[in-house]
Amino acid sequence: MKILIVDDEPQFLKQLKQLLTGHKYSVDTAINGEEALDKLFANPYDLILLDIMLPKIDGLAVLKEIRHADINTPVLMLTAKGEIEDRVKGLDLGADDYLAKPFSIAEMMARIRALLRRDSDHGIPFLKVRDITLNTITREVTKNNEPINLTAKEFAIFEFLLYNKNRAITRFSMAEHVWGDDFDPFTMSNYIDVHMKNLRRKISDIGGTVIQTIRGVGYLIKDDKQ
Amino acid sequence: MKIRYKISLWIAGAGLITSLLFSLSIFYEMVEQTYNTVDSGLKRVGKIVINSLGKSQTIKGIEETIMLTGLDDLYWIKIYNHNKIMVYQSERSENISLPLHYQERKYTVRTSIPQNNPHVRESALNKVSFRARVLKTTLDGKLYIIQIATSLEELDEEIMEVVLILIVGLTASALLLILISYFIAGKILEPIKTINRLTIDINERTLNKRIPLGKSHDELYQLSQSLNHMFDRLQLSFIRQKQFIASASHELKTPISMLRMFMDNAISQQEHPEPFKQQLIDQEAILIRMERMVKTLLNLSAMELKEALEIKNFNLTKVIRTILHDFSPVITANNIQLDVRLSDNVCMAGNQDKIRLMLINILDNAIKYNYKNGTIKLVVSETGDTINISLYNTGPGIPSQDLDKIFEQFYRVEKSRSLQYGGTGLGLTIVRQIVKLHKGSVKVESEPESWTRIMIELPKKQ
Repeated sequence: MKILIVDDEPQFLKQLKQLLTGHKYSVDTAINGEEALDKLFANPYDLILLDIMLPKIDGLAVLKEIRHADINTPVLMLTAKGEIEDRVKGLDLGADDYLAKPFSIAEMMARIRALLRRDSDHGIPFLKVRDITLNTITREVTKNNEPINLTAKEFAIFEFLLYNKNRAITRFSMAEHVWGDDFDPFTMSNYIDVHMKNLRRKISDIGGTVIQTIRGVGYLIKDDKQ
Repeated sequence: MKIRYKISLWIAGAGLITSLLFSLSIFYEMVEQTYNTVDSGLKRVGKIVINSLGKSQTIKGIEETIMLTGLDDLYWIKIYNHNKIMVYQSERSENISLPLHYQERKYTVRTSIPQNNPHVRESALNKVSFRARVLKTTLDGKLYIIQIATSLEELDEEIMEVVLILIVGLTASALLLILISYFIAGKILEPIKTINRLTIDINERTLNKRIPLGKSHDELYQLSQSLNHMFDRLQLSFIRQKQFIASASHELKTPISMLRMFMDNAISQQEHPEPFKQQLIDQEAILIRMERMVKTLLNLSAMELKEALEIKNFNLTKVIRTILHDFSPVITANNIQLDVRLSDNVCMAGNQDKIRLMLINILDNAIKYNYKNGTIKLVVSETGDTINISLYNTGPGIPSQDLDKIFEQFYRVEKSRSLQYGGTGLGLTIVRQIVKLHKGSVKVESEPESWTRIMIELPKKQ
């Protein structure tokens, strides 16, 4: 899986590259729009992380150019301007998803995995842990092929943890993901546990072996197979 | 007072003073001219009398001359000798005594006329003005004083008539002047009105508009030009402000992103000991607060720059129910009793995202600053064209001296609470801004150590 990261902040590029390399992705970087276009026309990528605010050729122009050249690699926009107009413009130009800076890594990883999965040749929309399967398209959860009824919030929490397997996820990150930006994660994070209790009960996770509680931090789904 | 009235008064006043002065000078000239004519008539008569005195040498002769020339039809003639004894008086001047001067001079006297004098009109009755002239002549070494007078009765009437005409004329012209000057003032002020109208048309959203300049390079042209220059500067500073927000958002968000990334990464590492992890979580909490503060602050500035929001009709009931559903685990966990009075399908025109944000903010406060086992009462009612949202919660409340400050940026009732409750200190500022952009109003009532109520009024249509 090859990812191109385009951002004008060298520190940011470096950190992101390290992080994604650590997750077994092959990472290439570009510091401006010109370099990005050069690399995109020269090599095939599986995903582009594209910052909108770039000097000279901005992210939207890059996006327009590559879509015009029929390069249909999924694009995850990184936008510092939380402005809706920019997001809409980006999505109209053919971006697949967006992340408003600042974002948590868990959120970014979830989006990256979702985009890569959607675009992968297998086309499998399934996330699995042990005998539990989550279908990201039909939004169904089954355990041993028996359907499990989850509420929207429980599903969101479960999916988020599955996208971030082997990473401890804080309650804050979960609260942000589940309730969105408008809610105060400080108010909501205390109530992740309520949903977690219900979720565990529904997936028969007795003793917290599927979803582990990391004391003082949050939750973790461990999957040694990955 | 309106400038239009002022200008009309000034013009009318100036016009009136000018015409008054003009009439006075004409009047004075006219009266003087008339008196001159009278005086020279008197002198001429005097000459005739002196002449005939020289020819006939006798009073009798003079009498005849006067009778013949018919002078006594118009003039009162008296002749005195050097002993100031009257030696002759014409027929009609009998019984009329006019003061006599012994020097040559002209003068005006008012004197009474005996009743039934056939030569004076009855209407004149008692007193009549006379113009008199005294002439001296010596005949055979003897001095004679001749007094000739004529009634000014008709002349006075004539003058009175002129005065009357002048008063009527001046009054009429004053009225006319006021009307005309009011019209002129309107004409003068019209371009100013136009400039004012065009200036009102230019607001935050139409800052690129300018006042069209007239053809003539007059003062109004200059005024328009100055205003246009001012708009240029205003537009520039607006653009700068917007650019500042855009770049500030980029500059602030990227470092925060990076910090969060490091922090997230460190937290997810399994090998750290637990106390260290706890420290990291605490730091992440601070970071998230900072991040929210930056986002909210930028959201707020963006809203402050905006004149209007994107408006759509939406179902407020649905929005509120969804938010309440999202908050329900929090409310349940705090054992708060929630009492909602909300009818189905309350609809309004507005920006749904912003109204949602507003409701989340006030509900978040109502939960955060509540007692355990407390109460929240949410009442949404419709009266005519407005929607009233009243949110009551039990809790520590707000001291009355702080009530008007709670909408200010970064204001907190108790500074020490910020860490305990989280939040940005911008929640109510955002609420007020959203309400303002929807042309509504927001009020807060509170009883310290007891309850707080926030009341929002929003128009149904924008």
